[in-house]
Amino acid sequence: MVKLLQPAGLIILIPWLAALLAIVIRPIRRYLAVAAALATGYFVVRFFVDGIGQVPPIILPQVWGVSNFLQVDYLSGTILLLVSGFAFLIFLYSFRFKDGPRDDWKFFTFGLLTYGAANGVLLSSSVLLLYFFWGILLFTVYGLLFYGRGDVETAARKMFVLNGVADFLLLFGLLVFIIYTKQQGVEPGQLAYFPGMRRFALSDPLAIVAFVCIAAAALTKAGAFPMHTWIPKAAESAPAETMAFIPASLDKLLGIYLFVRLCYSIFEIRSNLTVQLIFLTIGAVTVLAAVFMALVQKDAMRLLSYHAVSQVGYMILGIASGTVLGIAGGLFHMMNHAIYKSTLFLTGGAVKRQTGESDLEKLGGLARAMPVTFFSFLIAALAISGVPPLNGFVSKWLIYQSFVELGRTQPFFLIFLIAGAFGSVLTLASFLKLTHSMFLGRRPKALEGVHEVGFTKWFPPLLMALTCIAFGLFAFRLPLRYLISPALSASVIVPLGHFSPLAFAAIMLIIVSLGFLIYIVGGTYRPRPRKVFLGAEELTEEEMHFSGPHFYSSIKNIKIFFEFYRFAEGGSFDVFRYIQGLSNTLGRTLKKLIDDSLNAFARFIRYFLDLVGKGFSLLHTGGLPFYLGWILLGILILILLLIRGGGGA
Amino acid sequence: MNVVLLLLIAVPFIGGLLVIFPGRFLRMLRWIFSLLTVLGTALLLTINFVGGTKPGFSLWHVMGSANLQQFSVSPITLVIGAAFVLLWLIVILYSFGYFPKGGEADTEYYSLTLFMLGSTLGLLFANDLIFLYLFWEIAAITTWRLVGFERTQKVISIATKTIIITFFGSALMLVGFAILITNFGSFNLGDMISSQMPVLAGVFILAGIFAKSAVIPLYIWLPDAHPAAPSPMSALLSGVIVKIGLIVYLKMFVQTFSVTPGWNIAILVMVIVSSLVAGGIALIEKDCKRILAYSTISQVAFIFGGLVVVTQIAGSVGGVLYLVAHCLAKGALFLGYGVVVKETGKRNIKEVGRLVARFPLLFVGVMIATLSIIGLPPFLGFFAKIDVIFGVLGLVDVVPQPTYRILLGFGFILSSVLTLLYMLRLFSSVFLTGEKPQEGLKEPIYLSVLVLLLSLSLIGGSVALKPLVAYLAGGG
Repeated sequence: MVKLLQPAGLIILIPWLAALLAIVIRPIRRYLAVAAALATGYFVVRFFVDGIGQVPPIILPQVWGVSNFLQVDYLSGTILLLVSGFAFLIFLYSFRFKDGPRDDWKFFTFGLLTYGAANGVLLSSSVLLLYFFWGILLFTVYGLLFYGRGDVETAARKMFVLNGVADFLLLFGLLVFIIYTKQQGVEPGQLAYFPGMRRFALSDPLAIVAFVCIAAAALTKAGAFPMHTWIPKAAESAPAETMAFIPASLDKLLGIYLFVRLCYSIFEIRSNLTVQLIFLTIGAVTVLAAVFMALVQKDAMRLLSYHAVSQVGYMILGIASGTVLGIAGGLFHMMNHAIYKSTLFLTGGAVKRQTGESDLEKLGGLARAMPVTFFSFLIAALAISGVPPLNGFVSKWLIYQSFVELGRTQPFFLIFLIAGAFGSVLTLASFLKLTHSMFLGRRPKALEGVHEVGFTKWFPPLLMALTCIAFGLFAFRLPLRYLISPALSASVIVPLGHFSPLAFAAIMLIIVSLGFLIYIVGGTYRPRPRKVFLGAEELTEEEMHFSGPHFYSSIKNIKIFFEFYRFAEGGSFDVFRYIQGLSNTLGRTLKKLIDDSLNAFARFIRYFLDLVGKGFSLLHTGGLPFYLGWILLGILILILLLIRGGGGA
Repeated sequence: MNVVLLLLIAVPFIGGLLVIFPGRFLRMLRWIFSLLTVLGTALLLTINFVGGTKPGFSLWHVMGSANLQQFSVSPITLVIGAAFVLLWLIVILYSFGYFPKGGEADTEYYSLTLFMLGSTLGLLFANDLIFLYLFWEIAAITTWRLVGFERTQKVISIATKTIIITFFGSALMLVGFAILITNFGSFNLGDMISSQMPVLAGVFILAGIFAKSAVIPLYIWLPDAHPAAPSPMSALLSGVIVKIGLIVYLKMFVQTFSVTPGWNIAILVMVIVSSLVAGGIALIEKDCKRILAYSTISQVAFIFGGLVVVTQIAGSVGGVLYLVAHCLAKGALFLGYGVVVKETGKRNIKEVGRLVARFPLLFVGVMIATLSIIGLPPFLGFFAKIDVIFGVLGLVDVVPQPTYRILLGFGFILSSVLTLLYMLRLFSSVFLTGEKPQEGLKEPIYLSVLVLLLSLSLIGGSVALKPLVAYLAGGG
């Protein structure tokens, strides 16, 4: 136990200890959470200050010849930094000076437990240790989802089933991986920490099984299609904090972390084109399917949650492309996505908190009432849509470029580029709708008195929105140079062609200011009201109000899309429902086929025995002469036998 | 002569006989007497733990080498015995709060429960075919009486079914024993060590084991018997009686005889099929105790798998560890859902719901046991399950082709997935979803705390995992 009291162990233990205290002591649990995140963050920053290579590993007992360490390298260090950053901001966001709801211990306790376990996953050197923490996560996230209003159980149960099935796949993949590495004669079961670790080609069946199982679990964690269905469900019941913490940031960070380790450090995904194409297709389908669903949502949180799915597609596309550029892009996109998606969820949560609404029909015109929230939301929305020079653009740009590079020799890779770009357009479209419906347009009467949220609610999103700008403008100088390149132990990442974010930003700024100038000079800011008539009747302002939620309703009516939506809304893409249906059918069939027939057979045997018993009982009449007859018969037979026996001798 | 070991086996039997007398006067007395007996057994077991190697003892010598002990202890049997005694202790304590006041049959109940304890411990430490068979049948008879404890027509017919099927198995097993005795000229397993198992004897003995440990197709007594018995008895049935077959398997097929790879493959395939079938049926059952019963069938496969692994990989402890983990967790689950059944009067999981608000302590206890059965860290079931699956994947000598090994391992993974699905369904529909429970339900604190204690032993097991594994692996 004592050896865990080093920085690498403490960043797991501090959140867990705080979680235990948070159950018991109600008044201080929100202080505890923020303090724990700060303390943990301090140790993580120290890793970077002291140098990642200098952190002493904690040696844990060997199991089955697999060595277990708690250790940091650049990749896990970068993600640890992000996890702690998000944990701090999100706990700050949920901070209240007065006591919160009675059951908010669920959020703080399970949130802290999840935080500690996530740190554990990132510190694990071996696959066994990784699975240990990964398994704990399943349960802590399950508990976390129980905090909220409405039908929390369904979302939690969906999450548990989908991720639980994936966890056992992961376990299987990891065990096969240990056996495979033993066979290959390298240090078994390590996640690239061991010196002399080399990347394996995906040719051996063992390697393919291990890769596919682990990758499937990693992508499920990240929330890729079709294992994503719990996320929109959770968006209905869980508070914004939970959504920003789990599906938007932590799940993505962990899932993509494992996927990067798998594709970049352990296996060489480009060595098997079939496997690569399968995962690229999953990525492309994830982007498009989720963004189509997002387009027609009428609830802000649900819409955001579909984007939390769709953006995973880009990360998968980038990482599964297998080029350094693509993996860097995927990693960077994961980082960016966690930042802007958390911002979006938190600002969405702020709006919901102030108005009590997340239904887009009932929102509108809040830009003036909540200026800081609007600003953060707008920046994040532009970033997720990939508008240059924000961070979302840079990472997508890197991913696209990796496909351009691949497409030079094998042109069919360009399909994925097109899918990604198309998805990006639709993302922008759906965010136009969302921004319009929430912040622009006319403000409904019911929302007259709405005002800005308090400091703890506007500061975290604002900070993250500013990070979006900074990571966009200085993408190649800051995050890519100091975080991503060392994580991939690649030399400095340079994109193809020439792209200077600063120059681009300057041009954009000039154009925008020109436009603003024309707006001022031309006097268009003073609207001239005109009366509008329809069928000789004057329309009131109410009737002229254009509501955002139906921007893209017409898409639904296009023939193929109509079928798609009908399918999706009927739950046909919901793996959870398939699992349930399948298990019902399986159970019924087995019961009828095996259980019932075995029982029938047992009944038959029993009936038969009864019959035999009855037959014998007929022989017992109770009358003396009858028994005497039997005895005589017996003696006769004996005598006959003796005579024959004697005759023989 | 190890008097402590002799007493360990004898004390429950003596207690079981003597409990009849105080029972005539006061209900409380027979309970206290039973409790004292189990506590005494626990004490004797502890004495066996401490100190160096313990000799065994012999009662009377009939056939075979005279110097071999008829009873002896080993780390594995001691650990299993400790789990059993812990479960018994909780069950006896639980019985006091469970049965309504003034139940007339109580004397018989306590007496038979103690007999069952004695026969289980006797079987656990016996090395002699005659004693193995003797204790096996005493356990079967007590099971029969206790399954049919309610004495309604339906329950009696279920109890009859139980004894007929298990007796069918044990009669075959006796034939197998007879073949062994004639082949080797000895009753003692020590005389047969590391020789090849005669095929016919092996098949007969395996039939007995499969009937007791509920492997397809002889499992059909179990899903009826477990729900019919009173809840504390269900816990013992699932936690201990089903394990008797596994203990004999451990003694015969793992520690004594060597078997060909074909045997092991056949056993693995059979238990995986049985596990998948039972897991599938558990997905649609509505009676909470039936679900747990099917769950027992599906989990037994992991123990068999782990025991097969031990024959190939020396020092592998997954099977024994899972036996212990399953005994404790399933005991806690039967006792926990027993509280639900007792308080609400309903066994259909669709008719009860959202009990977490009324039974918070019970909720935590059942939750830990559920997670351990599913095999999630950091509970004992996780370490055992992962060890078994890894062991099966590494059975190079049994299954040389990697593809088939992967398939076998995947069978166990599939069974784990089914376990996750049905355990979550049961747990969430009783405690988390569904209709609000009726008014006036109050948590029986005493019973809930007992369930919680039993569950906490699963955490204790994983905290003490390192010394536990070292102890188990050290003594073979």
